[in-house]
Amino acid sequence: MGIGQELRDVLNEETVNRILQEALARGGDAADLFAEQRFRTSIVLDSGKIDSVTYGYPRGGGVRVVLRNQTGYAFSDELTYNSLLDAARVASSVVETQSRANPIDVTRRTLLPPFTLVNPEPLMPEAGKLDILRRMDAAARAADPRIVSVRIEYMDDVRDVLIGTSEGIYVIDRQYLTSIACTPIAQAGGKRGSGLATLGGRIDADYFAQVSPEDAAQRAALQAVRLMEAGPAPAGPMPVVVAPGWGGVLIHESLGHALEADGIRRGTSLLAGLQGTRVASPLVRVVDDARWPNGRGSYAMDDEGAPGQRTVAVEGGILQSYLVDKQNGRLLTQKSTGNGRRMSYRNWPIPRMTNTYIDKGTSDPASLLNGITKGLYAAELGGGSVETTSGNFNFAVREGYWIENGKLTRPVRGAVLVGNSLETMQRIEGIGNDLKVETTRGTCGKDGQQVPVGVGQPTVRFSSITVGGPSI
Amino acid sequence: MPRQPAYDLADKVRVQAERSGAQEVETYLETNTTIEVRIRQGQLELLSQSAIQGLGLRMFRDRRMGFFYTTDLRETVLTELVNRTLALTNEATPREENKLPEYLASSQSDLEIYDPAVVQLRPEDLVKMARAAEDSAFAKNERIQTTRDVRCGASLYEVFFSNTFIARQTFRATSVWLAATPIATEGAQKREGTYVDRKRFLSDLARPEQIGERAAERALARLGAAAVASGRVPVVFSAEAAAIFLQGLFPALSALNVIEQRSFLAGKIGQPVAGPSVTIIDDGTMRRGLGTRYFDGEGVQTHRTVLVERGILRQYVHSAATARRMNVPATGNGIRSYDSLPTIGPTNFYIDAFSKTRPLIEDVAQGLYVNGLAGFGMDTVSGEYSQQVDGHWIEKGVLAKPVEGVTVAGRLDEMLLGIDAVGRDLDFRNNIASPTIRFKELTVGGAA
Repeated sequence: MGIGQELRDVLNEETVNRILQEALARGGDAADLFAEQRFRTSIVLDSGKIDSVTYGYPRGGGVRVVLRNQTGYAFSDELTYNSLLDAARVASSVVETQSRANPIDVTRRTLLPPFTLVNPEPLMPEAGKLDILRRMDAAARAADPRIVSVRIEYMDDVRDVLIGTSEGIYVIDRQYLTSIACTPIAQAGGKRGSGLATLGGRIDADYFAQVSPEDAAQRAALQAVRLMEAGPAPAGPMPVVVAPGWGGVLIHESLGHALEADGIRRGTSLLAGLQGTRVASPLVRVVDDARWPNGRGSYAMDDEGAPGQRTVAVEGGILQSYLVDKQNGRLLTQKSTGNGRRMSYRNWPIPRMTNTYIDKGTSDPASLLNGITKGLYAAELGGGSVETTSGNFNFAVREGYWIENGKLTRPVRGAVLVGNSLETMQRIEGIGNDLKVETTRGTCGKDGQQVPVGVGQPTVRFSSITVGGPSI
Repeated sequence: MPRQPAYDLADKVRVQAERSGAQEVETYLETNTTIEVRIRQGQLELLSQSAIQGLGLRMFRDRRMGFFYTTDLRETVLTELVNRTLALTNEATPREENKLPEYLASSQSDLEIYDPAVVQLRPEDLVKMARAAEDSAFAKNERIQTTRDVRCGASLYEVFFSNTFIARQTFRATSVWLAATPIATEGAQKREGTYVDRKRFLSDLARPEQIGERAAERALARLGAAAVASGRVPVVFSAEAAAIFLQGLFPALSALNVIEQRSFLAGKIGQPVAGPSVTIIDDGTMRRGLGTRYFDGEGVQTHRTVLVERGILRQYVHSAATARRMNVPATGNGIRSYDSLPTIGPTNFYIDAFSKTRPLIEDVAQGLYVNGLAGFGMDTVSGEYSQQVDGHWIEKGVLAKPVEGVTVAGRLDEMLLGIDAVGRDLDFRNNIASPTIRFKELTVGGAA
């Protein structure tokens, strides 16, 4: 069946026109309809056994009415013309004025996909998926006798969306996503450590011909063993060097969220009113790119029907552009940058990041350790969070190494790094030429909505960050 | 309210799955009707109304488990999903514990989780409550000029459950919430403060004025905060900070994590794991509790379970499967929604109030009072803890100056054993709660 055909059967241009007209019957600046149908497969393998196999088939649609800064939103789990017409009426009740809208006439638009998948991984037969998981399990166990448990979680998602807007847009898209997480646990002498490897992204089935599932699982197992043996991290401010790739969690938390247009429009973000001013070291270029190949945050269009694009948010340390959705864009008189996203048809769109990274610099990554007498090398980060009003942010270091006299020495674990966005970004004193964008992991939560994202960076050196380990 | 035909349809699909080769089948149909408003500067910014209805169906064949969920309740779709899932189930590994609970114990007395007054709330009522909270935040101090927003909502939730052995069971529950986040400004510095109350009954909810005022106090208290020097000092966690800490600790008490060697508390039943003033309870039967329910996500009656008693680890938290694996009674902690398999989760999970009457900071000569925690710094596998915090520096038993940009860290086993005081200010505004607690000594990471 064609992409989005089942959605189109319920919602052709004509029915969408009528629903949007009903949504704007009491007035409003704009209205949109978002319909979605997903098919998800998830498989959990725990201690060598296929624990559970799950199919998910959620489907529904939501209608939004916007008047200036006001939003009305209603949705239905039942995808029928009548239930969406009801949703339109409920959403319109946010409008208290009594103007009438012009007739709406949506036209089908074609999309320019950021990349093309020939044989998307989620469409592979289940036997192939199960085989990969079993191979990973075996490889993780074989890596070291101290591996006592291995959990592997596989999830894929085929998401069809249909969007109609009062601006006249009618678009249909299909988005594929695959995620695999392998978590081995090592245990010996009363000590434990956990490792992590992730695979996937918006990928073709032949991905596994290039990326070895066994190697990934083995890496995770060896990490679990290393972390079991790692000592406590130090506490206090010190020079920090963050490894490339997933280290981009740092830019996501420190500046990324504060760039989102809702906080800018409300004046609650610390970056409000700072366009054209210095917000980071002159070495820093920050890019949000919805077109990065295979990225978890990549798409042809966002969840408001705006094309996904590459936005240079910070150039030479100067703030160039916010990350803008349609409603906040209207209020700020700025164009949407294609960053209006939602978790599902049950949520209204809000400005979100896609794949966000610090662009590559000129330094040889190895040279970035030079001259550090005592400091921390953050080899792998965990999660992080930020309060965009104050700019206070944190991110966890899963695997770290103590730096002494420009050399990596003993492994450390159990530290979070904390800082203030603007201060910390000014302290970037070296950026490597080894840019890596992580496309296999990254889920960002905001306002109760979880969306897949990518993050990235080259090796980055900070003159000082506060490290929160237990040892003084 | 779920439509009656949806109930009947769920039963019909269950029977169909049984006829198609599943030996045991469980249906979990859930509906949720929610209204939420968000107010900012007196104006309505968001009005959202939702009605969710979804079905989750779990099947067992030869001790293999398969599951699907959907919001599409067309009969043809359900039939196809049953067949597809059964086919996939053949790939799963047979496990001895893959079996449904066979009976539901006698029904419990009225747990008071449904309030008709909450169901009757209209958007305009919620707007009025939210405005009152915001107004009182503004009235508190002239440095409160704006808010991120004030949110007020109400929801009605209903569960319909049945399996091959247990006939149709159902319950409904309400909740109502009000959350204010004002922003205090001084010069270029902006700090926000949030105060949330959430209850089953409308009459139990704090007055909007009180919520607005407390939120404003929190934002104001953070102005002028700075880092303190690194060191090892006594650290007091406010009731709210302690609750967030306790939430992070839950996975360590999950029997599945214990079995799979993923918990630092594995193998410690009967041993002291916390200070003698610490009692940790999970109680799914607490009257009006936000985590209270008559039965859990797999039809097991909920219980009151003492996990840590005066510092001694007594029990772990179980689903039906882990209880079978460890040969102990299930605790009714198979938590789920229609779109997920039951996993071990908390009901009403709390540190019990202790008899300490004096404020916990009074005996502290120099230390840190923690009001807010942020980020992910707890590793319940290895037992390491490190987190971003803000609060106040304690000097001679009083709060002396606001603090931010610092971390606290320790080893979880040592930290818990080092809890040397527990307050009596236990207040349930969420399903996870704690009184104020004091750690004898933690590492504060701050300025040089």
